[in-house]
Amino acid sequence: MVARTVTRPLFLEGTGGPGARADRVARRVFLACAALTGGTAAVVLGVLAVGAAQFFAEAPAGGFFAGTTWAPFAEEPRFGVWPLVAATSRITIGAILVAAPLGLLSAVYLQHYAGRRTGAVVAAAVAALASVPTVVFGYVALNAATPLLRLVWPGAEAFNGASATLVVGLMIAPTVAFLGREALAAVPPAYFHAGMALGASRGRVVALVVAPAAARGIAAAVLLAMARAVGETMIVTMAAGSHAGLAWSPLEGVRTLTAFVAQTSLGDIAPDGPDFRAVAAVAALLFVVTYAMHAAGRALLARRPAGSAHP
Amino acid sequence: MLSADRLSVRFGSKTALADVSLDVPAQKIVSVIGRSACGKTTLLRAFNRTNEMIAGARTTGTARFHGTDLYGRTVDPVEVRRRIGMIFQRATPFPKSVFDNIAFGPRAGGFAGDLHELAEEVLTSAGLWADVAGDLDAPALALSAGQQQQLCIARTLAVRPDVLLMDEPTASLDPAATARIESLVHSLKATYTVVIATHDLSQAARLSDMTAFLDAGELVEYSPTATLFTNPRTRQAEEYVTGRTS
Amino acid sequence: MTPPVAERSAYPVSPTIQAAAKPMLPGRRRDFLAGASRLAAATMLAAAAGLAGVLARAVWQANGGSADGTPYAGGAGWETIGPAVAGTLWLALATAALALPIGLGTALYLEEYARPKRRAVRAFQAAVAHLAGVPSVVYGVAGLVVLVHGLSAGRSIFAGGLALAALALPTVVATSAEAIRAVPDDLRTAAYGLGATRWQVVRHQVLPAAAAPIAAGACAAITRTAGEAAPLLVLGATSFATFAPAGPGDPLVSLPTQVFAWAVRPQAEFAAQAAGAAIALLAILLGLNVAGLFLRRRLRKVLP
Repeated sequence: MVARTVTRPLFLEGTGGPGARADRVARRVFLACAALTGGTAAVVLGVLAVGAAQFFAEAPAGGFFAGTTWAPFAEEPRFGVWPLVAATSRITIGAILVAAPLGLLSAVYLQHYAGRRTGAVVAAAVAALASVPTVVFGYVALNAATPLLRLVWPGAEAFNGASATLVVGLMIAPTVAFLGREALAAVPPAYFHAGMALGASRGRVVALVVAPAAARGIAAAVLLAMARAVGETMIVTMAAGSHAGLAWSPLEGVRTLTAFVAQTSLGDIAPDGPDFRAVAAVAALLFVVTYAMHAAGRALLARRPAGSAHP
Repeated sequence: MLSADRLSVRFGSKTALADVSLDVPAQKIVSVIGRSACGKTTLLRAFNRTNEMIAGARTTGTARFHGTDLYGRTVDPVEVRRRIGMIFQRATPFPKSVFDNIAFGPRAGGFAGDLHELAEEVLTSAGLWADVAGDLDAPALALSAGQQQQLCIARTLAVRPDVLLMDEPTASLDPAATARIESLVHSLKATYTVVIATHDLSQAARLSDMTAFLDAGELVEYSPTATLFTNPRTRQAEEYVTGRTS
Repeated sequence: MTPPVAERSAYPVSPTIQAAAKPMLPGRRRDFLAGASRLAAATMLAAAAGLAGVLARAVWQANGGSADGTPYAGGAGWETIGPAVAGTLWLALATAALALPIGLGTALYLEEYARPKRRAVRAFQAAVAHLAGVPSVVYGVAGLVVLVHGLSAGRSIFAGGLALAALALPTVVATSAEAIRAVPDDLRTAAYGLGATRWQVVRHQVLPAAAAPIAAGACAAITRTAGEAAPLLVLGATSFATFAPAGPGDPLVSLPTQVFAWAVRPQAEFAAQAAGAAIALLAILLGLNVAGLFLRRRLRKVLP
């Protein structure tokens, strides 16, 4: 071979080149980080699984899912989770009935109607609402929503489902607005222009052309917001009460899954007591439901075809 | 000195390169021609082990450099890339200054000398020194497309490889820039071994000593350039270089 | 009535142009979405303003004094909320110090070191990402068992910081991974082609290019967890703190749990204190957001 290449030793083999050591260290550090993340997830999952397993060793699963009385700490404990599930469902559905129109219409406003200045102001208000901690919303539910509600319906209880539902709806509306706007923005502008060129009004084009093209994204926005409502803890703990019955009137108190977990844990619970087992079982149920909703919502977002599907 | 022996590359179930065997002699320019997606890029990338960064890639057979199997168990791909440099079709300057673009490779390789001296040397080799000498701290992305490709060549030279793999280095350049790059490639022959993939037949004819014709991942013919263009051994090569098919 | 264009014209005009010259029909262009969407936007504005108003009114009334002119006993001064402010700052610091490096490291391992297309890696990534949807109160339950009882960390700032870091971690991993994925592959290929090691590519190409969105995502995650009350309540945050925590071993206090503890008491002066704490909490979160914005600007300025 020629002189040039002979002057440099051929050390293709081995991993001793410059930078190789730092690379090995970096790989180990990052692997350790990933292991820590996985370990954290495993610990959370493990605690819930063990607690729930202990719970079901005592209480039959059939009674848990079908029973209509939740009194885990009574003399004769009853473990029917149905009242908690019903309360969570009612508040979630009520909240999304508030948040979906409010959030989606705000998204439409921001994407298709707002001028630059007013749009920025509304977007800032939405962002501000989105960053308000839920405990502050809880304060508002207790100190503003409930007093207002009682002006209209003096019969409303101090802790009631209605004001909690309304405030949870306000809390998740920014999520719907934000994700809904993203979904609208992902629709190719050509659709909008084509619709407008046909002489239809802006509202017609948005409702009949743009919104159907963004259907998946809009569905994902609603689903992810509902997942947040299911997991919402502070508003319902503070304003909805602790009455675990199957109340039908929205003016009465109700107790959700999350509120049970939070309220029971407020008193010190020992990890080997019956109260912890009940909390773990309810927390595990919450985990499964919210995890599945979040995964479904994300899957909808991921499968959204970028402008390929069109009406 | 650089050779492939029954080299195959598959991406998932798709075969990009099938049983290619060829020998690249030192200090020569070898051009690789063929229709788009015939495996030119894959062959070049196989020589500096950048195919494996693509998901689902599997390489079989051997590629040798000075007799060492580049895919041997104990071979460090990083070292392979330092000895066998590659210039890509699309010029991809790092979003940094001209100088930092040059300095990245040598710094990664533990270069201990004077980086400014090195920068002047390789930028001169790449024919870019006169254009950028005044301001090495200018952002690389502010250069013209041709200058960006020259910078990418200079930056590869700065690693001091033995072999330069060039994947259609002039594909996205105007004629003037193409001419600059071609004369640069020609001048590099004195010190480097060059493998250049191109779809421009006249470029292959002008520049190279040997020409390999690939079709659908297979090596159809590998001959001295003059032979391949005037008196090809295979019918497919003849049809391709005379433009009768495609 | 002005005569139609055609009648005034000196030239013959085709019937089509005559038709075009007819005035537009305003009635046909009524837009049903315009009003509804404006109403929704106005409601959002009103909700944000109303929320601020409710808090401000409560504090103003409390500090303005009661009927006989003396301020309420508690009020919403520094003496009452100071310890909780310090606690929340400590917790935010702990979250940032733990979740940011671990989350970024995890994302780098998954995206750059492990083959990201491998099915197991994708599954791990998805599993972690969906943890972001799990309610924070669940993390509190796990934290209570593992940290307070298992590790005997007690009801301390340390335990709270760990729980909040665990809560922020999935979000930090997901946003960092997304930012890393957005870095063009050309950049990596070019750098590897020059003989750089993986770490050199990450350190000099990937991280600088992804720094701004990584910082933005981490900042959003930390801000969000800093406002969490539920997990800290479950861990057993104290609602009666007389001194500001000075280190990780001190009792767990925070603004969100303080807002809760005061808000659920029936007396009016506690409601005012809760409002004061809520305003302080919002101010801290705003500060963190603004800091994140500046960081993002600076990181973007470093690179074009």
